[in-house]
Amino acid sequence: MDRLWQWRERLRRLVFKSRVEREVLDEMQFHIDMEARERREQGLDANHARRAARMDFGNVERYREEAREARLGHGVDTLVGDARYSLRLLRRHPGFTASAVAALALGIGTVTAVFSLVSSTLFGALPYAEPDRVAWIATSWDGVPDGGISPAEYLDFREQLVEVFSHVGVYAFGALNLTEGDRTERLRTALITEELLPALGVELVRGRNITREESESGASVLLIGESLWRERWDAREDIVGDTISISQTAFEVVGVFPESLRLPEEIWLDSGSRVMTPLGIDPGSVTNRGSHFLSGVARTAAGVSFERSRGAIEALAQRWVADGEYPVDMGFEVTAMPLDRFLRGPLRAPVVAIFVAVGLLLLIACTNVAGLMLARTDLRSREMALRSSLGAERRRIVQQVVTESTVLGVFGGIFGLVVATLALAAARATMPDGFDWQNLLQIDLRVVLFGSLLAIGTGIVFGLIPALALGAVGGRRLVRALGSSSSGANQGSPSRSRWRSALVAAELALTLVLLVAAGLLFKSFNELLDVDPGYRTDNIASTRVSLPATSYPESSDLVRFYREVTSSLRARPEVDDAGAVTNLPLATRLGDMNFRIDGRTMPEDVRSPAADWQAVTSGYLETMGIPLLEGRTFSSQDRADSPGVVIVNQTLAEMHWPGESPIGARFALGGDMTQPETAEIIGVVADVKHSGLTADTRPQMYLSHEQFRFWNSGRAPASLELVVASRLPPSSVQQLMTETVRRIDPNLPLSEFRTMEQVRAGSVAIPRLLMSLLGIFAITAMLLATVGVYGVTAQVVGRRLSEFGLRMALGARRADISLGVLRSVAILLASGVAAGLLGAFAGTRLLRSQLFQVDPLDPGVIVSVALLMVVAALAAGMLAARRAVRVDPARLLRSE
Amino acid sequence: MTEKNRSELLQGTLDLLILETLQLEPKHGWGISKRIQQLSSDVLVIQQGSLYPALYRLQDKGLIRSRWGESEEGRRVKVYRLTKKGARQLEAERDTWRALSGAVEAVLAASQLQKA
Repeated sequence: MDRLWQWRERLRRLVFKSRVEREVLDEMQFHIDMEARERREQGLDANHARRAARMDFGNVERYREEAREARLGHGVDTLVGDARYSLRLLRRHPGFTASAVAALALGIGTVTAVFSLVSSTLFGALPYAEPDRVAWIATSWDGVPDGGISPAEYLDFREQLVEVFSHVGVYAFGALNLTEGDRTERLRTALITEELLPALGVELVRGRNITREESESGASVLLIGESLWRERWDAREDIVGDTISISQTAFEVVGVFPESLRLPEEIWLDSGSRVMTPLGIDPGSVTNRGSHFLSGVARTAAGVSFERSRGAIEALAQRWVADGEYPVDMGFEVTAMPLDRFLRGPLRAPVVAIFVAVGLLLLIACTNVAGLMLARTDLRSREMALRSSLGAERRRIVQQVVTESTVLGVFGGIFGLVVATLALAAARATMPDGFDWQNLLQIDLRVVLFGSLLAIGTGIVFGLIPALALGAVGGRRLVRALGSSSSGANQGSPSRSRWRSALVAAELALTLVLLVAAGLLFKSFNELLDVDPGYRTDNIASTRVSLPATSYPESSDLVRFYREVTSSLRARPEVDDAGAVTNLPLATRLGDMNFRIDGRTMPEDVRSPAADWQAVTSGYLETMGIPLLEGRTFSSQDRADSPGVVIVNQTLAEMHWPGESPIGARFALGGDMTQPETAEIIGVVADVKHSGLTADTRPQMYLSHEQFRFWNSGRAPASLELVVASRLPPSSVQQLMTETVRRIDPNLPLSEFRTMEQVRAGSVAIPRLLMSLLGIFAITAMLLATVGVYGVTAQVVGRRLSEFGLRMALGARRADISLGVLRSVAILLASGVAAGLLGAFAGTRLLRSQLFQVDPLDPGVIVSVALLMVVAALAAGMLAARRAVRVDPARLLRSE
Repeated sequence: MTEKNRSELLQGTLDLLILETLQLEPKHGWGISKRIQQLSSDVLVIQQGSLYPALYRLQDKGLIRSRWGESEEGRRVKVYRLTKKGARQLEAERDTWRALSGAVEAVLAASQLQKA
């Protein structure tokens, strides 16, 4: 009953605010009237009686206000009251408030910023229809994963897996040149098959998809991207059906694909392919299973589980091998995996590592603020003791402190969002070009929601620590609290400084974990930089040149152009050497090619002869400084009509000619797909790290650009990377290359200008990012922890100041005193380091996949960062201890 | 002692006194104020107005409840009475208060001894 009334009354106060207000006034008026009447009865005249009554009553307005506050009452309203009280308290201690909010804002802000990356890379659906049904198809050789698909394999997938896959599509990337007036733009082009877009579930904006006939014949039809459609044709409705000239070929535009479309490899990039055109895989002419250069995706048929489709594709590949489709055992396998796993799998470990690290940093910031609050609430301990003895429940006190910390958390969150916004803006500006940082690093609703929950959660959690420490002073301890009042309240009770010490020890432990992680990544990164890529990275620049088929219809035209460009570059005095290559090392993945060694029957147990290939012009190996170990390099005598020649790398030579010279041996190359059909080994060069500094070197062969002919077009490669060795600054080299190319053909576009140093730096961008971020986090953590050590030591010193004075008066030396103080710091440190090491042992496992030639428990790293932290903490403790030894015993004793 | 502490102290005490006063019979605000002055033999000087915030606070905690009644002169006036929860709280606070005052007494006696 009582309770029911209580709630009715609360509701009434909320709903009938003004009436309740009036009632309060009425009630007070009644009181004053009664009081005045009593005075009159005692003999005062009416005026005096009323004045006296008012006087005794006090300020009506003030009490009305207080009554109003009291009415706000419990529950949600108490929260408002507590929050208001907290705000007053926080305003009264601006120093504390500022430092707490700053620490929290830093912590919450960085976590939120990193969360935006986590959210955009690891969560959310991929931009395809029913992405769960999209499979990534990859081959592997001898357990080396992520191999491409060959045209013959694609045709089998398309024809023989219709039960499990509704669509199978493959694609490769290339480039087309769009000329308008005297301006030529190089367009990133996807060469696709007819089922690619349906497999991804992409709907066209206008027009139709390419047909199977167009796909197989390689017809001159074109799908254009929405962005290009807007830029070049003002989104003209009748573009479909038009014929446009690209790379001096007439293409019929059949459709427009959405601007947001990204093929899987492009998914994190800031722009996708601009146009798409048929790949041209003709079932009639494909006979060989080699040449794995295609990317493949498939859509599982409705109602077919992923496991079943994977089983089907793996079984098909096993049948090929069993049927002897591959000449020798190459350890060949095909697998299908969810596209999601293919794209996100490699990102998970580094992103999660960054997120965990930044989470640790937030924990440290929270611990710091909890320590600050604890120190400050010491000042209020007597107030709390009194309140609790006067009936304030322990729950209420905890609630008040937690409300205060939550208010801090909310402010930390607000400024944290500002920090996150700034941090993300800075990150977007400094990240390497080409990626879609705008979307990868953005604050969206999900990120804001996360940040807000984080701020509130943080406030509650770090408030509970001081609240519990305070709550330990119950009503029964009041007497003790009152008794200690004479010695001043600002030095805190010993039990609470134990709490603080525990907090600081925890901070030190967390800091050590971060320091170890950062140290490991630092060492690993240095190992990475020490890796010799096998070629020169200094003073070498490159740019890609693509020759259109219309002006360069014959292979001889292509060959002539590159011969002319490289020789006129080489003729310049500023240029040391020049050459060209199909794919720059460390910048691209290579395709591989099978070969057969003449006069040798492969024993059953020897694995396939296959090697990555490059087509190069003469001068390329010299320009890149790739050492020749044996034989000779390409010369101007190696022409299309002269005998086929090939240069192999050391790995290939040692694999097939261990202990002997391969010079003079002959290869039969990849069947009818390439020319030359046979080639003689003329040289052995040193290995080059092609697919990554940490990747194992694979067997590799260099073919002469003059002799090499593609399997499908029968032409020499039309698009090559021009490389130039010159001491000129990069910008001058770029100008020089542009001028030289333009002098030969003024219409040619040049793209992707970069120095080999940039290429190399780009290949270690993720390890560098990971190392820098963890480094920053670790240093911030150490600063926070050092401040924590200083604070707790200063507190201990403050409390024991009179004891120190006494001891010094009794003859103790200053050194003894500071040793005593440092001993307590050492205990703190020892427990922090012990806990931190345990944490590091458990936590650095997360980093294993990101470490290169460094063990997660590298003793050198662990010992040196632990030492670093110990020195910093001791220095902070020493600084705080100075106050203890500076004390003047005489004055201190007098003041007691 | 800071200003804050004093008001906290008074607040707690005032709550206790109000509950005590209402234990015998329901009263209106002025009646409670008179009764407190009477009971404490005018030692505790409480500004009369401070009673009202306390009444609202106690209502909100569910320790007392109010209804509209009539004064002796027939004026409409709010009359407060103790709830069951209020009665229990009063018992509990009496014990705490006795323990506290006993302890303070003991402290004072001890310091008296030391001085002697």
